[in-house]
Amino acid sequence: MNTERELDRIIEAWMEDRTGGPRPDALADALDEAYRAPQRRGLARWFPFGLAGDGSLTDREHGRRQGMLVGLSGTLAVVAIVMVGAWVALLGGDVFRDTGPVPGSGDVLVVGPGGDHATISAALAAAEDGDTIRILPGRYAEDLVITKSVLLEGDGPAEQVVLEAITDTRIDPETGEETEFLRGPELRDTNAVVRGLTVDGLGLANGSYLDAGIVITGGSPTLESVRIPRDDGNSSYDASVLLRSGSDATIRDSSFGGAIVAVGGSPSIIDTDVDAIYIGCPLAAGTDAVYVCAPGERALVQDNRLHGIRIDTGASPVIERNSIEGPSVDWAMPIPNSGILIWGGASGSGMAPMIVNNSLSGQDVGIEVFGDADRSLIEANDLSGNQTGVLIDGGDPTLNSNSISESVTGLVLEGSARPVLNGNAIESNVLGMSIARFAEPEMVGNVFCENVTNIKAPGREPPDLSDNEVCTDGSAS
Amino acid sequence: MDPELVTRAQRGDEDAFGQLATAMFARLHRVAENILGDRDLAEDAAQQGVVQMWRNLPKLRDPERFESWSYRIVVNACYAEAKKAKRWRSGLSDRPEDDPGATAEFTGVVYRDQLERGFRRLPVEQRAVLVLYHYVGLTLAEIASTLKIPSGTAHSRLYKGRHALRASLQADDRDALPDASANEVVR
Repeated sequence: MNTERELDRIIEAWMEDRTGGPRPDALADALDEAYRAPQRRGLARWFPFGLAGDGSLTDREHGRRQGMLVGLSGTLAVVAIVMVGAWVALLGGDVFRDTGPVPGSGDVLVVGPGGDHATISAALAAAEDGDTIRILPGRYAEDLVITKSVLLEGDGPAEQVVLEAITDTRIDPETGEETEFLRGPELRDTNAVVRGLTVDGLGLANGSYLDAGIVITGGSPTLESVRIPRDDGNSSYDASVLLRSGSDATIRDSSFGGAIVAVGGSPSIIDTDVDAIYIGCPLAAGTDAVYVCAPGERALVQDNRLHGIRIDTGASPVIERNSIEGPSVDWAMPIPNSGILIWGGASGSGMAPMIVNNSLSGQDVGIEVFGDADRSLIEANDLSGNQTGVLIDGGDPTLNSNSISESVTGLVLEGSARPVLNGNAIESNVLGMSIARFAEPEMVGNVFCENVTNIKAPGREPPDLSDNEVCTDGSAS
Repeated sequence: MDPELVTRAQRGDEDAFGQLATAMFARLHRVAENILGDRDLAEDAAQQGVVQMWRNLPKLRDPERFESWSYRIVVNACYAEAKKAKRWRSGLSDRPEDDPGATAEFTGVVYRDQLERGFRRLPVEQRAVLVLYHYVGLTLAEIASTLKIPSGTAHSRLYKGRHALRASLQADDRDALPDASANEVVR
């Protein structure tokens, strides 16, 4: 046995011979056991992937032009977006539309022992837009669908005002089957404010995997200081808050053990502790694999503390000043887990995701750009102590002024990635940057210092680094 | 694998899933048997894999990736089996480290025994990469994607595993080979 090829042949023949295969009944036994348990219907319900069916994602030239546009400084771009957002809001009439009385400006109805009403449902029935429903400490197990613009407020510590989840059913749009799931209150086409309470009782007790602590459909409601603990301990796919298509909800200063799932709309998620956030777009009418947000729709995810954010095809959120620490969220995909996963992105809405001033650590991959059409702006983020700092596999994002340090590999360019890299500090990693054979980065003003090895470019010539600073303590190879 | 079949199974169609499982099960079992070196453990892993596949199939984003996804699930089941059961190790102790009856005229047998001993000494993660590479025929990039590990890690595990197997086959020359065990290959 002398050559590598001979070793291959010996190992392969040995592996082929050493197995006896399964018992005749082994598969039948496995299927019997499998069918005893229901399928886990996780995020695929909300974000089934359809990249292959979305032809708009492959327009690379369009992507490059957009990439140049988003190459503006993050600050200027954020300001521009805020201004454009305000302009769009003005044109849309939001500013001048009569949205009814402000929640909390009307009468006060007290719910609980000794109050005006024994149940929240009764208070809701009696309330008018603008009223306050003040809930005394206790546990309330009610099927709540809130359509009025009221203030629903806990009267006491949020831990002591508990809305218990109830069992609901839904019709699967694909199969027509009825499925049970657990949910807390639903806010439907309302500007209601929910403040200072807990939604509890979610989990897998009934074998459902569609649970949602609060369901928001349309409208512009606000959740403030709301707690939704995670009680099953193993299912980040359950949504603490599910924002269905078209909601512009604001969520702030809250604490969720599960995920926030946002499908379309322009929600704002601010200063909240949450396991993970998923941002996607609804299925386009008449299609089964095209996900499109409406023009101008853009979520804002700001100042939160969480483990991961996933941005799906078509969504273009602003992700700013979040602390995203490991362990990484398992995105249930055959790619490495990551702190921020950008999958596709930048279609339909006409904008690109912006990832600015975030801190990511302890992740398998800090930021991962996957798919073929991403034009994201990734700027001024601090990525330290991850296995891989940034992984770009396809697409052409712009990376400006990021700090990528103390990782096994700082920056990995896979596939035919064509990122623009400006002014990034890639320091104190085992390997600064790895460039695959067909990757074509544009690199100016980046610093590679104090890496054990600065750059590896296996099977190809190293890139032109004449406009970058490469210290001599690591060797370009 | 027919994506339509996968899509139907994702919607809860047991017939469709049965067809998928029938098409894959023997191969998944052999993958597990190769990784674990024990038919009973392999059966547990393959069966657990089928159960996990059924339960988690709705989460699979891309039906085209069903096959590689199924390998990942079974490899993970193998990791779990290897952790909770040590039976395969007891099998190793039954085998003599040096077989005095092995001669050059029975080279194939010698190779098998030497490979078996060398393979069983490897960490299960290295065994998984070797099996996916040599038995399933995946590329390193496909292995990395399937197992959700960095490609450098896949490369490193394959390199170390092959090095160990080569060393077991060339016991006499083992000292002359470079020692890669302390090096993690990254790229």
